[in-house]
Amino acid sequence: MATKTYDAILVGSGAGGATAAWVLVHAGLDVLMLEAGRNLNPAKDFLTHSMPYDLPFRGVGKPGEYDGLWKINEYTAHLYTNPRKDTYDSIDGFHWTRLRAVGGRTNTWGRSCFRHGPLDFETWPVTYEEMAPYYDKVERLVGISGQADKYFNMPDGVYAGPPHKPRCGEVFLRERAARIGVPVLLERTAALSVPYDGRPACHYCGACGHGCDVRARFSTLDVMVPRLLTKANFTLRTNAVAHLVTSREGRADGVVFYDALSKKAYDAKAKAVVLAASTVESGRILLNSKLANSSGLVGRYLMDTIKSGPVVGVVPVLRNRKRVDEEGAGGSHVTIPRFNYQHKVDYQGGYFILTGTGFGRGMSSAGGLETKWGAALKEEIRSRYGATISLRGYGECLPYHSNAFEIDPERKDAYGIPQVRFRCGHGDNERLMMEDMYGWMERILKACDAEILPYRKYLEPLGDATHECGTARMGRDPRTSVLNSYCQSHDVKNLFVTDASCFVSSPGTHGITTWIMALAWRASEYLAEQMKRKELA
Amino acid sequence: MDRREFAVLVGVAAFQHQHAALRKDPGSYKAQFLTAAELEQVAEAAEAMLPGARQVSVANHIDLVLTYSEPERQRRFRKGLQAFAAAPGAVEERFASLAPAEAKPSTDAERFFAMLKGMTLFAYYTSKQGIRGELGFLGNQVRGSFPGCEGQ
Repeated sequence: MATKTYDAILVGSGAGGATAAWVLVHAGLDVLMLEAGRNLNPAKDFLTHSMPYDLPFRGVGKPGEYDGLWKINEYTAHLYTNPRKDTYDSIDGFHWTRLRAVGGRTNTWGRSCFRHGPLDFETWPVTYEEMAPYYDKVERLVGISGQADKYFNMPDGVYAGPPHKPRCGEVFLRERAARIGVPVLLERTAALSVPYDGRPACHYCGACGHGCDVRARFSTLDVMVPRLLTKANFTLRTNAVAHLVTSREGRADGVVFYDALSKKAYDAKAKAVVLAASTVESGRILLNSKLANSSGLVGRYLMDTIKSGPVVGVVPVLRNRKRVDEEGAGGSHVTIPRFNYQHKVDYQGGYFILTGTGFGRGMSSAGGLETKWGAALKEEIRSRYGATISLRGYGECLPYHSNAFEIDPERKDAYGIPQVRFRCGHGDNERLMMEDMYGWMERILKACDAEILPYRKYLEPLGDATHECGTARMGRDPRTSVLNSYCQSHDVKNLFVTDASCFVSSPGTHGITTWIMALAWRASEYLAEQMKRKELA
Repeated sequence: MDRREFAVLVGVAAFQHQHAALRKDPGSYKAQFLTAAELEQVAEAAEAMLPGARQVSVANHIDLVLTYSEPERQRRFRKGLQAFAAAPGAVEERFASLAPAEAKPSTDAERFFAMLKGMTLFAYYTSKQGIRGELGFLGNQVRGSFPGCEGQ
């Protein structure tokens, strides 16, 4: 492998890496993709149709094994890197959720595909108008079920099929929320409502979070990588754990990686390097490479979507409903988009509210059952099953210089690669926004005449929403940013970072995956053009 | 066969495959943390906590969870169980006196009530009978369409 020089080496096969590969391979470049994990076979590797009682620990794993790790559980733990095992130092409890396998976290993502609007780009070196055509291309590839809503600062997109129909609890919520001026929109989701692009429509088993076995929800594993593999100018190397980017005379010239199984080191060479290993991994590679950091900002301005705890209400008119199958396309079919634009508030930014309703896979909520036992306890649980509405706020996290990761001088991973350590937390703005979230969640549930179950106000640790971003921010000034608007390093012209590392802000709009893909698409088109003009050498 | 039908068949096959592979026989369960006598005490208390718990072997699952729990949790459970078992009166009478303190338990027996309740609810409502039989969950099917709230 050391003898061949590729046009480009990509690190990572998730949203950012696969999109870059897609564009570069179609532009005729000879591309090597390194993926730290193994290839997956959806029908075999995903426990899509498993129920809690099919698993020894009923889906939650051994006591404490995955506590507090959203998305990592007994259905998915074999896909993820468990931060309890591959440890790192974080005094603030940053949740670092990594999925090392072909497809990355698109295998188990939340599937929301709302566009970010003109206001969200205010601090960015690109505008929404410049990004819109790339959103179009990405959405055609992804296949989204949704509809045009003409909602403020959340532009409509390209939809493969209509939105999935709302459940009764969601219809009720929409009606009651409207009374207090709170909008409820139908989800725009990457789970197909119609057959599209050779893939089947969703069969409504409701378990997208376990990984979909029939390709009805988009992943790079299902939709992009198999087609790339038919191209002669694309090579996929799995079990390839990237350590660092090598360089010569101010230009990147390759990547050193370890084989995950043999732990042997390899050296691959290329004319350009694209990192898309996910925000923290890409920053870690840059720091370990001692490259592209003349600004000193690699690892700085770490953000995630801030995430409140849940507030749950039992809605009397929904009690004791006739049972129907409400699994649908997994997760909610409606969302409460950011609605604070006209409000007088004491914080910057905004948030959306994730909703949960319906007859789920277990008791609806254990809240407020204290002192009950026996037949009365059982009766209350039966009555409230499918009668709860749960709400959770997801909001903008401001970029703080002090929220950061850096290379840990002591700790190394299983391959001997220096590990990162995190120093980050919420600021006053996040706490003020949290107060507003809880206030509105209460008001919305009261508008539903719900009996609000006891809850506690808190924010989940950063990283919990798995929207980490911002640690190689883009900008016009090389002194205050790491990348330019094409995700190209200011310092090293043939080095690009096409995951969420480039984010300048993390607005409270649902979903960042198609945003990453649109940015990666634009960056990769630019890379291909520049390479053809020999500007990168 | 069109693509849709094929997808449905693939889904069903995958479901059956996983189900067969993961099904466990609950009848042959051998307690690992609890003694046989303790397992029976837990089964009796769980049945009073949630009628139907014995039928789905809630006590077996509680034993499994305890087996893999931190020593401190194991110790608290056993101490609580012993205090509960030593108390006079029928299980229902003991529950009636312990339940009011559930939110702020201060004795071993009160702590046992709270622990047992949490573990019983979890084990019961993650069992097939709990989810499909008692609650009436109808999902995890392969369907051609989703009507939402229409027609209800």
